Amino acid sequence: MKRKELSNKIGDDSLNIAGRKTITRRAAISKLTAVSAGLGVAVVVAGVGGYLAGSQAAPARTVERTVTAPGAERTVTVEKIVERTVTVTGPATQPPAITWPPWRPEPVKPGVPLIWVHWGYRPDIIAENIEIFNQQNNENLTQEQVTGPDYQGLVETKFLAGEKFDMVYGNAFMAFRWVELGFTNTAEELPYIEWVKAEMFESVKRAYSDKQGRLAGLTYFVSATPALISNDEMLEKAGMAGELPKDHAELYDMLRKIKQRAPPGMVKPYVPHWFNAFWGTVWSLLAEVAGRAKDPELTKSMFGKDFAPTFDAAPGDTVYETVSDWRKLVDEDLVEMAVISASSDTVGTEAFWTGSYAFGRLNGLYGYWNTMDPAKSRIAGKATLVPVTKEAWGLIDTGLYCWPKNNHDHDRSARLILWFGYKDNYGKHLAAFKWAAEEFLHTAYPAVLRDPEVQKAWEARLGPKTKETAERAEQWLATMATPWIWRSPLYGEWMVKAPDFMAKCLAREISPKEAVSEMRKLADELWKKYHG
Amino acid sequence: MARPSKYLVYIALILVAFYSIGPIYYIFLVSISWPKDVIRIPSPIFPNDPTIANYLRIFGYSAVDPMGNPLRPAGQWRELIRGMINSAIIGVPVTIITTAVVVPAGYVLGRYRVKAKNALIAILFGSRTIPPVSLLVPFYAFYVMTGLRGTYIGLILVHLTITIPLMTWILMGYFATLPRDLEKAARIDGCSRLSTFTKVAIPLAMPAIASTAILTFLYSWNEFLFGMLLSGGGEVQPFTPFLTTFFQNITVETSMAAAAMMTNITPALLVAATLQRYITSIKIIDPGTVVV
Amino acid sequence: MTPLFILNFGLSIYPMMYSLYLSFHDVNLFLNKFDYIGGLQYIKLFSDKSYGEAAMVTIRFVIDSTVMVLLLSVFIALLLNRAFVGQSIMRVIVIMPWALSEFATATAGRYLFNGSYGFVNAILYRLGLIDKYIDFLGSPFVVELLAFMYAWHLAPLGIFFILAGLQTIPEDLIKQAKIDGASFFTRFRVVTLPFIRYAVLMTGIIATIESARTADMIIVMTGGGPGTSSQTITFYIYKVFFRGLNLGYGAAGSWLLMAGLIIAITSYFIVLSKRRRVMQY
Repeated sequence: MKRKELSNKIGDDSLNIAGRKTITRRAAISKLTAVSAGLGVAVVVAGVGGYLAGSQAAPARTVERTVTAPGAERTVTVEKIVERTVTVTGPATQPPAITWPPWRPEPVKPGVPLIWVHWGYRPDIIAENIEIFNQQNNENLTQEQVTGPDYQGLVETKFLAGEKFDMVYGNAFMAFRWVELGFTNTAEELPYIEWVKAEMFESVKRAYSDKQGRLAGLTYFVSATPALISNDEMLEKAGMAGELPKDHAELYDMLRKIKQRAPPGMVKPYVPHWFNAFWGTVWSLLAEVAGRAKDPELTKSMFGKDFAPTFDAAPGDTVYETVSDWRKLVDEDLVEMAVISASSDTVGTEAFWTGSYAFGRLNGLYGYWNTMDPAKSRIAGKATLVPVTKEAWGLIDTGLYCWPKNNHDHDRSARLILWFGYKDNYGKHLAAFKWAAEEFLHTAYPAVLRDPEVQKAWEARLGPKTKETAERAEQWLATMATPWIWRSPLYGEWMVKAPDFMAKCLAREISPKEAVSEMRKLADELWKKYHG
Repeated sequence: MARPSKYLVYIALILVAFYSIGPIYYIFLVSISWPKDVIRIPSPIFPNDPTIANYLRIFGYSAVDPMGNPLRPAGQWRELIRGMINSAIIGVPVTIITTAVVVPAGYVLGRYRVKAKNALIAILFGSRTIPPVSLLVPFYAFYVMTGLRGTYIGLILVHLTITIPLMTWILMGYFATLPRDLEKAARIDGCSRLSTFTKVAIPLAMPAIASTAILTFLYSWNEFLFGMLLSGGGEVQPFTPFLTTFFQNITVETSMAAAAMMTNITPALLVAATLQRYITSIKIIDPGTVVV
Repeated sequence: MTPLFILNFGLSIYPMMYSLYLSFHDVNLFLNKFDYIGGLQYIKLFSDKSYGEAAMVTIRFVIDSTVMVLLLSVFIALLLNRAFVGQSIMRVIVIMPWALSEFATATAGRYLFNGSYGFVNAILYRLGLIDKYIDFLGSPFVVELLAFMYAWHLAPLGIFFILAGLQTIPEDLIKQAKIDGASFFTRFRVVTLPFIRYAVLMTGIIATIESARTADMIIVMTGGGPGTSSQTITFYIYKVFFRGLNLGYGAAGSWLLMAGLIIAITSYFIVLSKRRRVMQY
């Protein structure tokens, strides 16, 4: 049986024949290959508190930890940890050292392909991963892509119609919803889940846990949205080179100043993250409210622990203030309005990439990564990710691999999810590694983010800005909002109608007061419906 | 006619031509530009660095842009080819079946007094008025129950439910206007009803038949909502629904999306262009009048 | 033939009936609800402000589309009716918009009117008519833009209907009218119109029905924005159905729309049958 080996070298298309898409990549980290050659002792690194869920308490301490597996050939993992308290998590008793994976790939059952339902982010990488998975496991995995803004509805239609599929992307709130509706299994039912949990960052584990503390799925990626990015060229032209805002109020003041200075070639100062999709205006609101109110779970400022709404259309209320500020931005003509006629982030992102705006809020930290891509963006190399200083800017943007109950085969689908969401057959976090290296998608596994190959890949594109961007990314991830309300079914309905009110307010049809009261009324109704 | 108005006519014609082709031209323009060039300000209205790289990419080949940056092939290239094949697999049977069913039906309904004809017309119209959006979930549930979901037959049937009523209505009107003399002559000469139909009526109706075939094929090729839902992105996904995968987010570039669109549009354009003379020869007559 | 017809109707009837059934129920997945609430669902519809607004937008869109389609088809058909050099090429060009799917038309519209790099903006900018790109899709006239693109797509059908009708006009009548010195408009009203009346009516009806039914255009081109100003009923139903998964409510919404359309069509039939008695064919 010919085993095709894998390469982690980025952009290694040298083996492509006539530019074709053959996946033959050589394993760059040959040491790990040595493990699979039978000396097998996998290194289990107990993950120690990584991303902190937003508090500005004790200053960060840096602890270095070196773990060496006895008997293995030079398997070394070094971890740098930023922590508040030292919490050793992981299984109470050390699990016995095992060879990963603990199963042997069986011959594929003819006629029963596995199906992976996904939204199409970097379909080329997805196609590659599928090929690698199939090769490593002698499997037959196929895919179905479902479109963006209707993703939740279309996938739920599939569930309702009793379709069989084996793995499905889900956003955090979708994952919780599907577990409650009985469409998917929790990740707790996966075999070897303790090992998985031992290697995850604490805060990500918390973000993935439902009301009963069960993990709703395994990690596909973790990032923060909307990323605040500055167009350095434009700032220079406005005479404000290098000035970066420390909180929202400062950002808006800077926008006004920039408008006054009217640098040449500027269309508007700001491209906001407002559009009619579930990851659009609503998320922008959640992120900003959480940042301004210093309330990462939004339990004090929007929806309490019992999911009841706590916001009001009154001065002093953060939601009201945020919407009013947004409306002021529109009234003062500081904002690119084309974004609100769109149902995805493409319009705003492409606008920002023309280079005619000073600040932009793009989707995810990976939005910054794409902004620095010289093949797509006209401001590549001249953009900066704004650091977290006084206020947190972002909201968690995370994708999970969810495990449908109605799958083709219990064991095969479990193996599928573990392969993508945890480690491949060589014991490497392969999927997470590729996403991190090629798309700047962060993940729940610290091992991946500390990997030198990933750092090299980041340097290849970000150049001199790599170090500062990587640090800032971790700041964003450490302070980002993780809304508690996502665990309630009312969120799924509220997020469909609430943006309409905000959109109308931004289109100048109703006042912020009206918009926020309507949103509150809707939230009250829905709360009564689901929890009352 | 006074001379000046002839020039006016020509100017008007040119404007109409630009108006008709303009949007298509722009999609084509975007599809042959590099991604960065599209978002230049001012944006290009003529190709200034044309390239077929985008077309290569959507079919699975990598490319390199003028600055040496590597451009990956589109990840869905297999699905694109599959989509094209699927649309053909679905379109051809739909066309054949529709034409085979609708021509005799239109003939009968257009020429003979049929009881409850008005009711029939009303039903045909009525089924046209439902927004397909509202039928999506019931259709979906029904298809899953009967196992038709994700099959070619399922999609063919869905298309048929739309094309048959529409084409019947159009052909009804057409057959009503065909001169009856030839047929009467054939009957007098001793032809049976059937051979009157096959030897006289059908050749006369060739234009109508051809245009039914064309319109049906175009409809099937362009159909979006049901194709998207009833194939769920799976094996049988036709071409037009597949295109939505190019419009998800910033990771799939506008130029590639435009290239995919051009690939989708071109067969339809060719079909329409080469065979439009058949469509123009259909006279639309009120099917309620029976020509005796 | 008959069995296929029966299959056809059968296949369409079941989903229609199920949709009607759904519309009388309050469906909620989470609470495992499938309660019969009968007419209450429709009353909820009437008191839903968003539905009312969507209805207004739909009416505006439908009227805009129908008017544009009619004007364009008549005008272009009249133009094409003359003999001129390149007539067959023109016919090929004119039918092209019809060959596109609604999805492709909407995408073309997005590219054309894009506020950052759109074609229309580029042309206007180079002609010196504007110095800053206009955000067309965010303007208050976005419904008119949508209607314009939709008319662009639908007009060729009308053009050919009307053209066929124009070609049935006997030459002598036209010559007679010209000799009699009638003005263009009189000629049009007295001579041309009777022959194309049916084609015009058909075009109008088709335009009305199709523009009321379309969801693709709005989904792709504006996503209902800015605000909710381009949210037609079909788009609203789509949102409610697919993003909110509120099955009963969406079903009810679409049946209400259908009822409206059926009223429109019935009135057409009444008008037509009256005409039939009067018209000399």
